[in-house]
Amino acid sequence: MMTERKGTHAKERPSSATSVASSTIRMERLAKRYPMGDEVVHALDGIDFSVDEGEFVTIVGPSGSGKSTLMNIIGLLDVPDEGTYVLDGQDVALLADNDLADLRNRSIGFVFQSFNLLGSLTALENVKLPLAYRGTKSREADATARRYLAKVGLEGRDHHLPNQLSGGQQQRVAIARALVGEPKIILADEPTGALDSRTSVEIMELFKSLHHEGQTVILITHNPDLAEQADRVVRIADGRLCTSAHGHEDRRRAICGTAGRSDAEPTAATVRPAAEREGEAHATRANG
Amino acid sequence: MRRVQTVRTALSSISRNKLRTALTMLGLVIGISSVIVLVGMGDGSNRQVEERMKALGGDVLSAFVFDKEGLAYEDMEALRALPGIGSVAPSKGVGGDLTAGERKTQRGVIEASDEHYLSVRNLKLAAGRDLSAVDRENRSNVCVIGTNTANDLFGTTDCVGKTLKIAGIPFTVVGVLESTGQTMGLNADALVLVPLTAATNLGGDAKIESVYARPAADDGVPLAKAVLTGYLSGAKGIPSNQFSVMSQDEMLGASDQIDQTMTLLLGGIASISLVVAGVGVMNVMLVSVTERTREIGIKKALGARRSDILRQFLTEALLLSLIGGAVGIAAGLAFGALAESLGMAFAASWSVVAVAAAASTAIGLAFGIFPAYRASRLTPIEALRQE
Repeated sequence: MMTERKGTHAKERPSSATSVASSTIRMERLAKRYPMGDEVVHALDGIDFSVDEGEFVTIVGPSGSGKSTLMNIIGLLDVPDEGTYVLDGQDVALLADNDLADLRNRSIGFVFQSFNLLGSLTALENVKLPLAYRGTKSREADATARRYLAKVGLEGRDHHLPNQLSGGQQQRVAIARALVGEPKIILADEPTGALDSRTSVEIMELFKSLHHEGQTVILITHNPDLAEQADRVVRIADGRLCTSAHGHEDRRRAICGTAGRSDAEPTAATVRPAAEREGEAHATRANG
Repeated sequence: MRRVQTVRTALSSISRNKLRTALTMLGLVIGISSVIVLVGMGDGSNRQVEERMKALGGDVLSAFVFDKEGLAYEDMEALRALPGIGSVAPSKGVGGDLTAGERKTQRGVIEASDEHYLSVRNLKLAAGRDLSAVDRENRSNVCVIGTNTANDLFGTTDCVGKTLKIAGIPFTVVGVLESTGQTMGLNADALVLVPLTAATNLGGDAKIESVYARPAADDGVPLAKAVLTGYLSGAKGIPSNQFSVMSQDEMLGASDQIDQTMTLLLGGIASISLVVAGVGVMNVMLVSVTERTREIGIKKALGARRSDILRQFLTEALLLSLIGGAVGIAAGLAFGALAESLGMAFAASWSVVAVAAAASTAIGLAFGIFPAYRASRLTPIEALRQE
C-alpha cells in the first residue's frame, strides 16, 4: 500500500482530504532541540511525517540521526519543541500528562531492542501489564494475555520468567505485550538488534505477518537491509527526513530536506560527534 | 491500576528482597516495641502506686512528716482526740527478708503500726486477732499477715500461731487478714503488720514519719485535713515545708500527673527511635526507586500514569511500616508479658497499641511519600536509558 512520499527537498506535503482523514500519525514541522554545552543540537529539524493505518514503515538512519528522538515523540515519550503531532485524531499538544499516559496505553505498543521485560514477572504477567493500567479485571486480562502469547507462538510458556526464555522468545513476549491492548501502532526500536540472524528473520516474519493482518507497524533501525523489508522506508539523517521508494532500483536518494529549508548547508548549530559522522559515512558507503 | 492489584504488586515487590525488607522493618519493630514496653512499664508502675493508694480506702488522709524529730507515739493519742478525726494509726515501713523455714517471699510489705491500723485502713481479719496495746507494751514480736503472704510462707492461710522470720528475727503470727481480692502485690494481701515497738527491735529508730487518719464523718475530709494541718504546724510547731497532709484524691491526682509526665517522657524517647526507623524506610525506598528506574520507565511507556507509580511505591512503604508496626506491637506486648512474669510492673493498654499502629501508618506515609514522588517524576526516556 503505497502512500505519498514525504518530505523531499521542497515544500509540499501533499495532503489530500482522504489522507488527512485516515492518517494515524500526522506530524508537521516537528522540531526538537537539546542544549549541549554551548551548542544547541537540532535532534529534529522540521520533520513532516505521516503514517496511514495499516502501513509498515521503517525509519532508517545512523546513530545521531535523530531517529530515536523521532521514535520517542511518536511514542509520546517526549514532546516536540515545535510543530504539531496528531495521533489518531488527537492533537498531542493539547493533552495533559495523564491523558498522554492513557493515549500511550491505548494507541502505542512498544517493542524495544533490549526487550525491556520485567524480570520478576512471568511471561503472562508481563504481557498483561498494559491492561492493568487500563483497569481491566485480572481474570479477563489473563485470558487476553494468553491469547496473544499463543499468537506469537509462545503457548504454554505463561509461567516462565524472562531469564528462562531465549532472546527470541523474550522478544516475542514483548511483542505480545505490545499487541495485548490492541493499539493502533506497533512501535519497534531495533527489535532485532540483540538477536542472532536466524532469530532476527523469525521476528521480522512475525512483524510482517502482523502487518498482513492489518496492524500498523513502525520500525526504527540503523540497518538498511532490515529496513528494505518494509513497504515504505523513510531515511533520516541530521534530524531531517528523506524517503526512497521500496523496490526501486533507482535508489532515488532524494535530497534530504524539510519544507522550506535549503538542504545544501548543514545548520551551523548542528553538532555531530565524530563517532557518528564515522557511522554515517559507513552507512553511506554500505548503501552505495 | 485497581486497588487490590496495587497491594498485591506491592507485596510481591517487598518480598522480592526478603533480607532487605526484614532489616528495614527491624528499625520499626525496635521503635514500636520500645514505645509499648517503656510506656507500659511506666503505666504499670504508676498503676501499682495508684493501687496502693486506693487500697487505703476512700477517705483516708495521709500525713507525712519529714523534719528532724518526726512524731512520737504520744502524738497519736493527741491526734485521735482532735475534732473531726475518727481514728489514727502510725505507719512505719520496715525492711527485711521474710522467711518461714525454707520458704521465702518477695512480695511482702512490712509495716509497723498499732491496733488502730486495721480500722483506719478498713481491713478485716479472717482468723486470729489484731495487734493490741499489750503487744506494744510488751514489745512482743507478733504480726498480722495478709493471705498472699500466708500462702507464700506457709502454703495455707491457716497459720495462726506459726512463726515467720523478719531479717532473721522470729515473729509469731497472731492474725490473718481477709483477702481483698486485689491482684497487685503492694496491697493488704501482702501485708505484714508488726507493732511499732518491733521496728526498733529490728534495728530501726522510734520516729514516726507517716500517719494515716480516717475522718469522723463521711464527708469530713476537709475538716480532718484542716485539723491535722493545724495540729502539726501549731501544736507541734513543724514548719509547713517539713510536713504534708494529703487526702487520697490529692495523692492520686499527684501520681496521675507524675504518670503523665513520665509516660510522655518515655514515649518521647521511644519516638526518637521511630523517627530513625522512618528515615531508614525512606532510605531503602530511595535506593529501591533508583534500582528500579528502568522498571518505572517501562511501566510509564506502557501507560502508567504518574499517580500509578506514586501509588505503587507509597503502598510499598506503607506495607513495610504496617507489617513492621504489627510485629513491633506483638514484640512489645510479648516483652511486657515477660517483664511482668519477672515481677516488673507492666500495664498494656489499648490506647498505646492504637497510638503505635497510628505511628506506623504515619511513618509509612511520611517517609514513603518523598521516594514515591521521586519515582513518579522520572521521565520514561531517561529511565529507559538506565542500565
